[in-house]
Parts: sequence; structure tokens; C-alpha cells
Amino acid sequence: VSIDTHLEGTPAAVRTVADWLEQLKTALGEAADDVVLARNRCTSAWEGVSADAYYKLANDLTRATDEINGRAKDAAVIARAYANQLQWRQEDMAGHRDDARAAGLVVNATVIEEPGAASAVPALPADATPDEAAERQRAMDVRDAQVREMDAWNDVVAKVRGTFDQIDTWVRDNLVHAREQALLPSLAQGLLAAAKSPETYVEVGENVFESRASALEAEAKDAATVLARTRSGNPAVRAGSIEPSASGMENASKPGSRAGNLLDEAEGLSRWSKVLKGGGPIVAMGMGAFQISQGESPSRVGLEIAGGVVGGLAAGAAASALVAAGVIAAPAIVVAVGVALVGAAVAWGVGKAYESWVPQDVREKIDEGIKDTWHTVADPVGDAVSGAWHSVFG
Amino acid sequence: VSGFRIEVEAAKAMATLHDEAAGLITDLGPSEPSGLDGGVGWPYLLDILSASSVDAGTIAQLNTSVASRVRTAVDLVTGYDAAAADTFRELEKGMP
Repeated sequence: VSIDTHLEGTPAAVRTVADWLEQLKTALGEAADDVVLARNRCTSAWEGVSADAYYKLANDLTRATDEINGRAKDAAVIARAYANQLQWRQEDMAGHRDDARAAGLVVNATVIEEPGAASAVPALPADATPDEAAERQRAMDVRDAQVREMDAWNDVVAKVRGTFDQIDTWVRDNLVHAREQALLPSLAQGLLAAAKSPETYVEVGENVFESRASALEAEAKDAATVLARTRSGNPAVRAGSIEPSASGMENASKPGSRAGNLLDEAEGLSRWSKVLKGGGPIVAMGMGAFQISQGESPSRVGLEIAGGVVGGLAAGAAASALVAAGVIAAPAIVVAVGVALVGAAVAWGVGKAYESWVPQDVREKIDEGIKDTWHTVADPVGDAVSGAWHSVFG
Repeated sequence: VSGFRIEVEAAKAMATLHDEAAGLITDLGPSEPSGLDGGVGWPYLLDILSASSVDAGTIAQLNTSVASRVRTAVDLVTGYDAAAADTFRELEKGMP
């Protein structure tokens, strides 16, 4: 029987995921800045209902970008925390193998072999010679060593299983929840759905053009009628008792007349309406956005908006300061700062604030650093200190 | 439309900003990690990574779409301007 201490995974590889997510967060932040710049430029360069609609859309896009930015930040933190856990547990496994070797157990690569069973040593006869007594003592020593090895084996097996349990529990308690959060509907998805919706853009675009064209045609007809009555030789037509003739209306609508100009404009609008009908998803912002300006912003179309912005700027700044200060790279400093932070948190009674302000991966580094130091240095201090430890960490 | 005004060059610059926003995100696409030895938590992390990528890609797509719509709006406005100019030119032709 043997036990394999190999824990799959490459922490460095997982850290590349965290690095990439941090790059993504930065890119999203810069993208949001660009959208804000464009939106702000709109206020001086563009006026009208289309400008209003664009402004609202840009606001929605900014919020959607900020939301994804927050998610990328959370994802980077959880990825880095997982990389740390993986590394620490692999280091624990290496420690278990060292302990096994030190106890005399056979270790092949990552596999620890179970020792042989302790052999029974018969009782020494009453008339045993000194040589027989010495031989029995040697057998007893061998048996005692075998018992110690078996005790060490049982101990190391428990520790290896405990380490496997530890990483499994961490994954279950952290990554499962993080995955659920990452898969929640986003504002961006709602915006994209609205952007692809023909009801939102194309049809309204057509209607706006057609409606305006119809109004112009009616206005042209009125103008032509007035002109035709003025020009008519028929008193009844001039008095408005009967409608002007078709030829009279045609003459009154010739190019250059007011009615003619109105009809030209109406024809132009109808042409754009036809373009839109055959234009597929390429739609005029000005007209498509008109509909949005009349109602809810696109992000509200068919979407339940979940939550607000996660975290606070102060948290990011505090975490960055810790990282920048080299907290993560130097265990001794981890312990020093960690103790100060935890001590302060306990003293001030702001544990929840601590959790909010300091990212999980940094908190866990601090905890791990304190635990390592505790195990290697503070154990001899005694139960009084141990009690204090448990009062903080349970 | 009453109160309508648009500075064409400024609107084009706005469209460019949206294009740049999209590019900032899509430029990261080729370097997205994949096929890593991530251990027991990798399936979850992969889903988280994928969700972030898809959401970010959606933001890029939206910016590209908005840039296109802004440019279309500019095209429409300039198109109307040209059409209006034609109307006056036609009228001018009819004058003695």
C-alpha cells in the first residue's frame, strides 16, 4: 500500500490567468475612459433627440463596462488566491514527504510507501543466555523502529488526506461561488440584445422616416391647394366650395413651388425609409436612437439589472499599496503586516471592513504567513498564546 | 427636427473613440490563456475566465456597433445636407 502526494496543477500557470484578467481589467478601464470621453464630446458637438439618445446609450455602455471591469477584477483576485492555495498545498505535500523520509519511510518521487508490519518478538526465556538477551533486545529495537514507522505512516497519511481535503474545501467554498457570480447576466448582454433587436432600431427607424414623409406630403398638398385656389378661374374653387382640379394641383406643385419643395423633401425621406427596410442591421443611430430616447434605456430592455458596483475604490488602493509595498513577496513582512492588520482589525472590531478592503488573495497570504510563523516559532510559547490565537482564528 | 445640430468632425472623433475602446479589449484576445494545468479548480476557473472574456468581447462588440451607428448618423446628416443643396440648386436652375 502507498499514498501519492501529487497535487495536480501549476501555480505559475494559474497566475498567468490572474495576470491576463488584470490586463483585461486595465483594458476595460481604459475603454470606459474612451466611452466617457466620447460621451462628454457629445454634449458640445451634438444636439437633438439623437444626441440625447446617444448620451443615454453611452451612459449605459459605461456602466456595463464598469460592471465587467469589476467582474474581471474579482476574477483576477480569485485566480491569484487559487494559485496561492495550490502552491501552499503543494508545499505542504512536499513537507509531508520530508517528514516521511525523516521517519524512515520509503518515498519514491511523490509516492510514500507503507512500511512493513511490526514483527512480534517472543518473550525471553527465564534461562536465556546473555547472547540470547542481546539478540532479543536487537529484535525489540527493530520492532520499536517498525512501530515508529507505522505511527509515522499513519500520521503522514492523515496529513496528506487533510491537505487534499483542504484544497477541495477551498475550491468548493470559493471557486464554485465565484463561478456563479461570473455567470450572472450582465448589463452588456442586455445592451447587445437591444442592439440586435429589430424592434428597437430598424422598424422604428422606418416609421420615423415614413411618418415625417407623410406629414410633408400632407403639408405639400395643403400648400398646393391654397395656390391652386388662388390661381383658379372658377369662383367656386376660389371660395373653397369645390376642390381644385388635378391639373391645377399639378401646376401648383411644380418644382420650385413651396408644395414642390415639400414633396421633394418627402420623397427624400421615403427613400431613406426604403434604405432602412432593405438595410438589415445597419441602422441610423439618429433615427434608431430616437425610439430609445422616447422610452427606457436599452439596458433595461428585457433585462433584470442585478446589483451595483462591487467593492470600493479604497479597497483597490489599499490592496495595491500592500502589493506595492512588497507584502506579498516577503513572508516576514507578510507576518508583520498581517499581525498588525489582524490585530488592528480585532482591536477595532472591523473584521468585515478588513474583508471588504483587502482582497481575498492578500488576506489569505497574510493568514498563511501568520500560520506558518505560528507553527515554526510560536508553538513553544504555550497554551496562553494558543488561546489568543484561537480567539482570533477559531 | 427642432434644435438639431451636429459637428461632423467631432462626431467622427467620437466614433473613433468607440473603435479604440473596442480595440483595447480585442487586442488582448490572442494572449488569453488556455490549455493550462490548473489542477482541481481549473474547470471552475476556466468558466470564470470564459465568462470574463465573453462579457468583455460583448463590450467590444457594442463599442464597434456604436461607432458604426454614429458614423451612419453622420452619413445621414451629410446626405440630407446634400439633398437640401440639390433642392436649392434645382430651384436656382428655374430662375431666369
